[in-house]
Amino acid sequence: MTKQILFGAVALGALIAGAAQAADLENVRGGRIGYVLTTLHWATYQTAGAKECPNGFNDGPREQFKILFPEGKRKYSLMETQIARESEGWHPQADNDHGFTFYEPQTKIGLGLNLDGKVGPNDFTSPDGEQGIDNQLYRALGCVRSYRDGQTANDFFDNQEIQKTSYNRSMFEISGVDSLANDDSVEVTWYRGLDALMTDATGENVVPGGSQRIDTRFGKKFIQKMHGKIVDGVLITEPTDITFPWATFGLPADELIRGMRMKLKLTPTGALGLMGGYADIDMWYNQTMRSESTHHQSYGALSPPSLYKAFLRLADGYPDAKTGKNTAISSALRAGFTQVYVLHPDQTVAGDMGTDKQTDFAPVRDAKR
Amino acid sequence: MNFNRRRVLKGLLNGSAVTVALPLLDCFLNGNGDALADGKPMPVRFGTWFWGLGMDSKIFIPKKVGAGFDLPEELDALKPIKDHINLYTGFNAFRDSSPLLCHYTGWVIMRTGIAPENGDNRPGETIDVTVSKKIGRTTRFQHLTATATGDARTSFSYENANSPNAPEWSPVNFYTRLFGPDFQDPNAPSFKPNPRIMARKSVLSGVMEETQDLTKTLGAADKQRLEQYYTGLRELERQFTQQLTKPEPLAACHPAKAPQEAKTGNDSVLTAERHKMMTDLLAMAVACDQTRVFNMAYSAASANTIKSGYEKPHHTCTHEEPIDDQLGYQPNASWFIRRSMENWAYFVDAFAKIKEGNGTLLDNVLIYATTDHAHARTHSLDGIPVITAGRAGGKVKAGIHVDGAGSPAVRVGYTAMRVMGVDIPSWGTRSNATSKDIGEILA
Amino acid sequence: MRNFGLIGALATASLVAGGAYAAASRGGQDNDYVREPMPAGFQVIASEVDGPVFADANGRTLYTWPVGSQRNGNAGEQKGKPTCDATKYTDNAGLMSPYPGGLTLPEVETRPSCLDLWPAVYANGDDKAVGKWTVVDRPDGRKQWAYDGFALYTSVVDKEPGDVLGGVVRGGNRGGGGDGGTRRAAVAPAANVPPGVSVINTNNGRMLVTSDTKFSLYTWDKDGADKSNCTAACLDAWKPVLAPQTATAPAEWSIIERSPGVKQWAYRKRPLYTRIDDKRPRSQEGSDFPGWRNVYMQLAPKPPASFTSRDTSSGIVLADSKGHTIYTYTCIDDALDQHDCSVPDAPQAYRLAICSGGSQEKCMQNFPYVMAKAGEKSGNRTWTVIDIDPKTGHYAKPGQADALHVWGYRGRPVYTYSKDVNPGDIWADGYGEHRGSRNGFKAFWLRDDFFGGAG
Repeated sequence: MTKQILFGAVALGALIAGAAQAADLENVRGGRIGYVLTTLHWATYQTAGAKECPNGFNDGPREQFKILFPEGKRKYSLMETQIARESEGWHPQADNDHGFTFYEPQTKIGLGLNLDGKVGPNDFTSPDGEQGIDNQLYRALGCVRSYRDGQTANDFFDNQEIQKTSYNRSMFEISGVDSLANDDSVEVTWYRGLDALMTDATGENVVPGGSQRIDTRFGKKFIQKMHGKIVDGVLITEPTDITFPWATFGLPADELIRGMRMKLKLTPTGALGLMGGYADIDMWYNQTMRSESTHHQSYGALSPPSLYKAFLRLADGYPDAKTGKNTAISSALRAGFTQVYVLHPDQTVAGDMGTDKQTDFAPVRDAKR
Repeated sequence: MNFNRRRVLKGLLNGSAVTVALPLLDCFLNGNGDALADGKPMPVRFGTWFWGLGMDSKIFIPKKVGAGFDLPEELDALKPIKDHINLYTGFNAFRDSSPLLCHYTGWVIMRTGIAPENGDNRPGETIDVTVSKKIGRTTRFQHLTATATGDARTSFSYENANSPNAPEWSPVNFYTRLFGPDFQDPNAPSFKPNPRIMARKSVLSGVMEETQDLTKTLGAADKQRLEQYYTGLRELERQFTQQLTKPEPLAACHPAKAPQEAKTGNDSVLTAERHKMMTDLLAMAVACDQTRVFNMAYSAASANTIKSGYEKPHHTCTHEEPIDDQLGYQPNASWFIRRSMENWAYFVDAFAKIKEGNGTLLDNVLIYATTDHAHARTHSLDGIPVITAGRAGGKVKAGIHVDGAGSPAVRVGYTAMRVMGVDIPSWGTRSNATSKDIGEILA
Repeated sequence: MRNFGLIGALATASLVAGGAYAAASRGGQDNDYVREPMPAGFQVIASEVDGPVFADANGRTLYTWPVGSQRNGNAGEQKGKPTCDATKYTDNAGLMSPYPGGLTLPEVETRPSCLDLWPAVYANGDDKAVGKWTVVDRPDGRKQWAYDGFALYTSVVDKEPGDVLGGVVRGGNRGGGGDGGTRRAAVAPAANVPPGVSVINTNNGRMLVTSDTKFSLYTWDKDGADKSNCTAACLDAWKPVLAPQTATAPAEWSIIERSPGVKQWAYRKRPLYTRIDDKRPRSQEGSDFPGWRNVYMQLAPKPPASFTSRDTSSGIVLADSKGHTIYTYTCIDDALDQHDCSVPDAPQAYRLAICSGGSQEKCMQNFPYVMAKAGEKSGNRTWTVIDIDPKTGHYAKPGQADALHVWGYRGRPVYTYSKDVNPGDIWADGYGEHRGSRNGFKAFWLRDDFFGGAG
């Protein structure tokens, strides 16, 4: 009797454990689960009423132009105005920026990760109380209207472009997954996908269960590996330099985060959390200048030369070997992902029109791509 | 001369032919004034109107749904015409997997029921073309398209991808087309109507004799109607004469001196002036049954209308102007929407002022007014607003605010087409496909 | 560094093998356009990039300047209303955002007028309209020829018959329109294609696409002359371009009957298809599949033999012999007459602001010219060696000892970017005002799968 009950108990226990494990591995196939990027914002801590910007928001190109070249005072030339301002934008120097004051957020609270493992004087405390948050980029963006939620210039449109533009189809696949709850060693590989996001009928909401082929040709530079672990359902990765696409206005543009690490809450249908690291300043700036140019930067009152000078002041990582000046700035991104099946070149989608063999007329998915 | 059958006076003015069509005078109608003399029903006409850059929902959407709705401040200008219009809010334009093409996807969906795949793609045909195929074949013009922007490319009407319907953009040219001879032969050098002469001497002087003959046969009410029509036409001609002696406001894109004048092409005051003239001409053409389908574009989709003294044109303003903390909306962007609504009110009133049969021209018209986005700032399509005006010969009720509760916005266009007698089982594709009309507005 | 070669696009090594389909490269030119009545003194000339264009009796290409909307207003001409005159504009018009108007233009004392750069094609008093060619009145009282209502001009930049250098260099499809200034366009007769087919200019040549959605047409090597072998499973991926029952074929086009009553278009005897999986207009993705090719009425002239190509994160770019991305420079100023500031004899201040903040010397470091090697020649007039003064960026004087001999595309120097270090780097694509379309640099895209950069 005891043996039977024990067996039953063991069997039941195994069943329960098995059920828990099955939930743990939902959407995990062969130890792999994929997530495609669906939302992305630079992590700027904001309060209603913008209390952290007591002096207001920074002036943008239009406002600065009016101050530098007041209307009606005299006749100005294009050279001393527009040409000069464009020069300053494209080739900013570390100078006193015409005496403009650049407002940084006045707050001890910031979003992000502790990148250097220390608690320093420039660090923030997270809203949950975690100390040592490194996010100097927040000081640069925090009082620029363009980067504040709901103020709908860069923050809104840049995020919208993540879903809208297929160039930005970033995804990662975790492999070697024994459990989505706890796993002390997993591999994370970044890719760019080739397919449209699977959405609901409105076209607005991305739903899990879609699939993505890997862009092995033009997306080759975005294939990068990280190592990590899963602790209590949170994916934590080791610092790795990661380049990811972020085209925000109709031309190819990328970001480079040095020593990027992720802290994402994983579920079988999505991942949500922070990605942090040291954003390469020149690449960050190159992205916004090429994509937005002064015209669209005006939308959110972003003055490029003022911002770049703030970067130079605030940069805190990866000093240049020759000059000693920091080339990267601590930063964090709020990132949301939706579960997706990553199709490796040897796989095809159910219902695919092609065959899995290359013929002369039936296209094979991933042929040459 | 049998004026019961002829509705057009023709004459010669300085050697050029001129045409003056007549409005629907009582003498052309039956005894009750509710049908044509030969028993055919009063023609019901269909029109569209376009304004760019949507609304500020906070001050645009009335609190009350149904009849007797309130007019929030952005719709203040609609007070005089409130009883003639229906307002539709809470409807959605769906793009499904098609891309969100700013200032394009929204209006294409509202005019065709189909979300375009790319910026070059003009799917289907626009609603006015569909209606004109049903009701436009017997009139001189199958449809007439006009714009207040002074830009020959501002049109939201197309037959297919390769055939956009170019708008009338110059009031003087429009006038010449309507009142000049029917057929202009470009190879006959002396046949070209000279608008300056036409306007100065008045086309009416070319049909003076015929007018006198006609007037003898008219009753008092008709005499008054004809008088009103002629006066309106003469007023326009006076304005044209003025304009034709100095540079047209449309040519202000090329100023003689300071660049500021270059911008007056899109100035809101100038736009309103052009809108007024084009509207008056369009209303005349409709009243005189020159066409039964008409389109007016107040602005382009990403409207470049300018507010005097404010440096940013409308579209730029929607993206750059911060939301005012106290007001909760963008004050200057809202200014532009309010001007759009003022012009919409003028458009509707132009039809309401023309007497026809027992009522007005507006009673026998249905106008479908659409835009390109719900909120221009975020390029949203959710809650894209629609307005209709007119009673479509009694088939439609007016003065109603309809809440779409998330249903497809194309239901309004579908309902309109059904009312106009276009017998289609559904309109639109994918999530925009609908076969559900809006019963609340049907009489 | 591996030369990637040009898959499915312009092949530097071989025009046809593995490349796009266009029959013999210039064969069939005469059939490329629809004949229409023209007044005496005008002709059609074959140009290297734009195909057949209208020209005057001396072979100078004809241009119009249709009105274009910009952020703050319009520039250009309405139909029947020429405005290009001898006015010497001194101030910018503020059409471009966010800068205001009323600013004195650079080198204003020597700034030419619109007519200086764009001579009007005047008509005589007794000239009569023919077809789409009409005579319009100019504000100065003279008469001018017009095509389709738009007044006609020639460009002082064009030197020989067939030159179409006047229009601002088109650097791909994006960033034009309201942000790219209001450009003059060469006037051309309609392409000789059936309804439902359009021809568009791309960096690889004049490509055939569908009219309504601008999706690419393709041919298949395994088809025969006027014979389609694409059946069964092939049709799951490729859709024949069907011809209506009553269609008649223009010259060089034919209609094949795939099956009773089902007619398919063929061009130069090659049956035409669209690709079912193409998601974008102007796609070249179909050409990734062996034997399938995009279709061109005319291939673009070959770049210098030393040039290569590179894969990038968005597609394929033209690159120099070392694999560095090639960039063109586009510039149009903000005066009402919209001068082209991309040519070497225009004020260089615009370019210098973008490439270095004002210094020609630093510009040559940041955006080096692509030097032509001694004896290097081009086989066409589209790619040429231009002599540049290294101190100013203007044309060098004849015989100038220190002149730089640089490669140019359509009369304007091309560049590389010093920060493009790795093969496929495109850090200067869209570098400049309004994403490079107004005053800036664009990569020379041979294929752009995401943003239409190749046109």
